[in-house]
Amino acid sequence: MRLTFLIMRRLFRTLSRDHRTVGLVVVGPPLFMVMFGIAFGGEIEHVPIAIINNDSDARVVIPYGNFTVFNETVSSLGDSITNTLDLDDPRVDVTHLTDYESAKKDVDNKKYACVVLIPVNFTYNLVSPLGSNISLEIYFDNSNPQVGGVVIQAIQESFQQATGEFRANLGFDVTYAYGEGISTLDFFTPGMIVYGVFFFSFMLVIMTLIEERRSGTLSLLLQCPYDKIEIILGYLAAFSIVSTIQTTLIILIAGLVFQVSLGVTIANYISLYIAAIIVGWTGLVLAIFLSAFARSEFQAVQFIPITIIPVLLLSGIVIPLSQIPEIIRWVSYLLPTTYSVNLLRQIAIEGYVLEPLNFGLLFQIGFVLMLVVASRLTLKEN
Amino acid sequence: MQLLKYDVELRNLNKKFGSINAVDNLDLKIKQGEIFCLVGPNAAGKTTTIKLILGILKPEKGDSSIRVKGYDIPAEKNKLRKLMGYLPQRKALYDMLTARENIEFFAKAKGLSNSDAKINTSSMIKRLSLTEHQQKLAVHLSGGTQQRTALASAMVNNPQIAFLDEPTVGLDPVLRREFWEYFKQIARSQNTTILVTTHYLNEAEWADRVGVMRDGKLIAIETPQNLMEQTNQHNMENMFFELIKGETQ
Ligand SMILES: Nc1ncnc2c1ncn2[C@@H]1O[C@H](COP(=O)(O)OP(=O)(O)O)[C@@H](O)[C@H]1O
Ligand SMILES: [Mg+2]
Repeated sequence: MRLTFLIMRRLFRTLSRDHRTVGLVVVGPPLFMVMFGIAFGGEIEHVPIAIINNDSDARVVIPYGNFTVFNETVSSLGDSITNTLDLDDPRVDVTHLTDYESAKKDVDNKKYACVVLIPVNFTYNLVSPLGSNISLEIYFDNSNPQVGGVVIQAIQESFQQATGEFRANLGFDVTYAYGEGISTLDFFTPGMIVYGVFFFSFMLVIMTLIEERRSGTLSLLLQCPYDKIEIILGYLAAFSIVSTIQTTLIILIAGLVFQVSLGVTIANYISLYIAAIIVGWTGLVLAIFLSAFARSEFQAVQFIPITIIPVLLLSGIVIPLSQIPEIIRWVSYLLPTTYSVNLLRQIAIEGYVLEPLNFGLLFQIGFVLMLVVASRLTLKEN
Repeated sequence: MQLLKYDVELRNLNKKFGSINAVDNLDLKIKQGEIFCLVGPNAAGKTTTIKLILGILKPEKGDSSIRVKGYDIPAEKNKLRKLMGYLPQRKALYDMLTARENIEFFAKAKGLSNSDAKINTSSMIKRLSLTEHQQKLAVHLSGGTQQRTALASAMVNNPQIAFLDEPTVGLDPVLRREFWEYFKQIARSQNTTILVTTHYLNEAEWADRVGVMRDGKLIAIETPQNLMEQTNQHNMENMFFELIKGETQ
């Protein structure tokens, strides 16, 4: 018991002298709770969609022999559907358009999640027994199935509400811009590649550097007749191989065990690997940079949750970027992993082939270069 | 005309940590091919002096200068690195590399070609009697063997000048003597300049010249024989206490 007490007292004494640790202990848990709460508490709302409404009021006459049993003007169901979605449904924000072809291009360019075409005589065809079968054209971006599911649900509910019993001859004709037949797992796998590769390269590098510093070998390396940049580049080269292996493993498991396909063409796969290696670099340079600010192994380990949790929550890996509250979304735009996730999803889901001037790619490379330069200045013996 | 070629010239060197004068107005010249032993108790400032010489620490601002092998430190420290050997006080090895792999790694890190690195590694292993241990992981080596491996790694580039910070700390007397024989051999055969520190006062006897250090100050610089004669003592330990008495009186 005596020893227990002595050790306890010593631990408290040493901990209380390490102000950063005290800070982490006190500020950390509430901060993470708030981040989780904000991140997961939000509903998917205000997804932009476009509607082209060519419907109008319908004069419906129903004859029975020589009599007329029904002769009334039915007000446009298209209008009522549009109004429900536009005014009452918080899940979507409606823009009214007139040209279907240009609206489809907007969907391709990610301006709208979908465009719904309500055809001419929609109400008449639904209501009148003389009307023909009618289908509603939807051009749809399902590259994020979480968002896609909510949008489709909102549209279907509004049609059900408006058309009620007349639904028999109504069909939905959905054309996919992206993500046809995509499962939630298809959607999450690119994010898992980013998270797995980032997490491991960050962890491994920071642990290795701690050991290098602790054992004193870093001091020796710094006395060798080479520029410090070579130490950083050595780490970069080694962990590129690690990232490549990890990406391969994730692709194999996703493909063989869960039937997720992550690319179609060779160019897709090459793009995927390049993107994954760059993710590894971002984790690695951040680890090298941060390790310079740790005065002990203990402090270095603290950087792991501080880095990993925001990356998991704010890069769009689990929560779509559009659902992250705007007060913290700027953090997302500063995280290189946000661009990694976006890029890998484009490659895996939309079949995108990496172009050299892609903004996300350039942002990540800029981040890596900046931290390499910064680490060259901060990597010191003491 | 320069009669003596000095490999290390320190002038008016100062280093403070807070209120501690770790190095206090230090002047020192070391000749080429000389084994100079900086001796003094713990916290005397030996390590700090070496770190200043290598440009790892910056001296206090003022009228000081550090020249090593004719290079101005810290401005030209990268040029010095090619021809020096450095054994830090904390002996550093990669645990998960074998003794041989460690030595060869540092040979290459110091800029030797692959073939030179192999040749030099083999000769260091032979010279420091590491042959039977060369394939063991560093983490499995005994303390003395680790220290020999670290020394081999520091000297594998056949440096023209070596800075060895407490190379013999914790070693048994036999091994200590072997280390010093090695220092003498390379100083005589290759004209290597060696600055070695120790807090074992008796070891200083084996050096060409001794600098006695205490509280950041060099209180004597002499050959061991002269020092003992001047203080009328027969061993270095007694000499040291005699010197301190003189200082504090
Ligand atoms: N990085 C440092 N920060 C603060 N004090 C230091 C530091 N390095 C050395 N010192 C102090 O400087 C003095 C000399 O230390 P050092 O050069 O390591 O002595 P020696 O090598 O002779 O044992 C000691 O009092 C030590 O505590
Ligand atoms: Mg020391």
